[in-house]
Amino acid sequence: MIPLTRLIGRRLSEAAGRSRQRLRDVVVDVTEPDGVATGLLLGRSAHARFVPWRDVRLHPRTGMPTQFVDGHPRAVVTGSELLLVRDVLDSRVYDVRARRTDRVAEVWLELREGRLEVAGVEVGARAMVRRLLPIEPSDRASTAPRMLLPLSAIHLMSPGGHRAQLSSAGSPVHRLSGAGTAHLLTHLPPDAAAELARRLPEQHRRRVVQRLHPRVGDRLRQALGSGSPARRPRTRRTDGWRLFLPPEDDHKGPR
Amino acid sequence: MTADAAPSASRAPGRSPGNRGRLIASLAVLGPGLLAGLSDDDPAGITTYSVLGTDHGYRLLWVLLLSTLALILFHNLASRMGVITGQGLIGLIRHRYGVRAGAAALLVLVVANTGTAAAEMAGVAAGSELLGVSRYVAVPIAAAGVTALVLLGSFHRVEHLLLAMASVFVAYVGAALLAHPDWGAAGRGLLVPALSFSHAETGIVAATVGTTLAPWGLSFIQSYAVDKRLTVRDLPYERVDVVLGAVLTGVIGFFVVVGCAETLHPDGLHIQSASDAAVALRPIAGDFAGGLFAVGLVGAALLAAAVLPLSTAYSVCDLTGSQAGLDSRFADARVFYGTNVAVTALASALVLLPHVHLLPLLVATQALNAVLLVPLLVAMHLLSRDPDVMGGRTAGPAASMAQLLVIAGVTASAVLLIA
Repeated sequence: MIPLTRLIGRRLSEAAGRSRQRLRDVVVDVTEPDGVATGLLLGRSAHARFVPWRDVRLHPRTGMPTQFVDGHPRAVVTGSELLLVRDVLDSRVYDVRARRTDRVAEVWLELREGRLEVAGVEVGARAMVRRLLPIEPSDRASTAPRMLLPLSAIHLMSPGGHRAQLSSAGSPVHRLSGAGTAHLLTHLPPDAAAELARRLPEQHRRRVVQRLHPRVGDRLRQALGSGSPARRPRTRRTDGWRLFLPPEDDHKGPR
Repeated sequence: MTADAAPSASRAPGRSPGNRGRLIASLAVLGPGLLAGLSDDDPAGITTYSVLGTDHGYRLLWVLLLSTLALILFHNLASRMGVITGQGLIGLIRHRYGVRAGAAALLVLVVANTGTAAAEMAGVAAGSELLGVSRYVAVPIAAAGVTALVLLGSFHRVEHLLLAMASVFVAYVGAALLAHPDWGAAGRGLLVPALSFSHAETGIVAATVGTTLAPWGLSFIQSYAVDKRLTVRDLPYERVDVVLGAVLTGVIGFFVVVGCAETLHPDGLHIQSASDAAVALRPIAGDFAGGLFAVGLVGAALLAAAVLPLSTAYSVCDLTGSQAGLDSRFADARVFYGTNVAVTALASALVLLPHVHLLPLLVATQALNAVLLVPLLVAMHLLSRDPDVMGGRTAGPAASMAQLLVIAGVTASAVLLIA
């Protein structure tokens, strides 16, 4: 497996030998549950060059990208695509099984039959400390991650990741139970929660909203623009927690 | 209408919330700007303003005005970034500039915040001793009180109590009014810039800028806006909150300067701390004015002593991704509450332990704050212009230009201080 931080910053040569470009980001399509690289972004952001994965040449021994055939300017990724550095690495994610938020410390990639796939993300202090230590990125590859969360088990909270997963029918957000969606809505920032609520089928949304803590429901209505002024603020600790979690059920994780 | 309703139908065209609705919404949003602003008037701030007034009279009041404008600009930016991105400042730095940049910023912030928290506890000790209470009684009670407030109180209770604590700043207004100031001279000092570029003047200018615009205040307001779950629709109200907080901060600083300029400056007195000012005020402006000054000092120290560990805890969780929130259970947010308790305990211990020389520690803390402030402001400026971070709400050219002017001013004041 290859850590993303080992890939980023590598220089790739154009096959014709005219130029060398630094690898800036990896474009991934999340239509497939685990996420498959569709191409690489090379060069500086203002003039970033998109190279489709089929035009990337790998080193025969290490399997690392070394050359590209040609590229063309492409300003933004669209639809169900996201950028691993911009939208995943070091960004906040919601773990749909553990029902809590965390921050991505490393993204692990894997070459399978010529395709570059996202094996999973690593969260937690251990991976973060490993990146802080002055060791070569290549040495990090030998430090196998203790536990990986596949993309199919997380919801990305960065704007780009959130939108890409909302756009993809295969994303975990579209397979969550009513309670699971209620938990996710509770953890998301209000505006992102409203964006998700707008995308839910009407019946499912109704079920989810019924499960929300009344205060989160109020907050959601406010964010959707349909709420009345906030309720009287709580002053007693026993009134409930800020997260106002919905009631527990037996269905943790995707439906 | 419920959240089940189609979004497009969620708001009747032309329907306005009305004045009462706007007022309620505005009151509900109040908090981040007020707390972050008012806690800038901590003992270090009060000391700086006291020295400014005592040593330079009304001459340098314009620095306070410019600092307040800078405070409005960057506190507004921080709260805006918190609302739009849903992340605190340190988390955002890690996300955009990598884990090493985030960790370096956090390391400096934690050390500086702990030192500053010690300064707040020293303010509690000094103020309480002026009021006849031993520091060995006052500091542990203050530490236990602010810790219990954060550990046991709900978000709104904490917010209400902190805002109530801030009302003690009225004491400074009272102390200044008792001194019967020369309002004409104060107005001229506020609006007509004058600077001799002597070491004493450049030093106090840099200190005033540094104490008004503090790194911990910037990180606090952003994380607190996230914790309060403000939405983009709340931003206009949040702007009112920020402006109100910053203006009140400036007004309180103004009255501290005016009180000292009117009473202590004409006699050529020199002070080293805010408690010196309280003592010096007594024979000139009366016991009541001196007592009010001491009460204000304790209240300011308590407010900042509660906010600083909170700011640190938010920042640590921002970097690590741990759950942070005043309404989280202890079991769910151990890092958050643990950091809060640790910073408070360490700060109190530094004040109470014998053989610990606080002065070098406080000087080093101020230096660290100064070192951190410029890179933080630059990072905020760059983040505010980054469409990947702010989406369609990036800072406009006028706001960016104003930010650059503030950064240039802060950098220049730091350079003048060193030169």
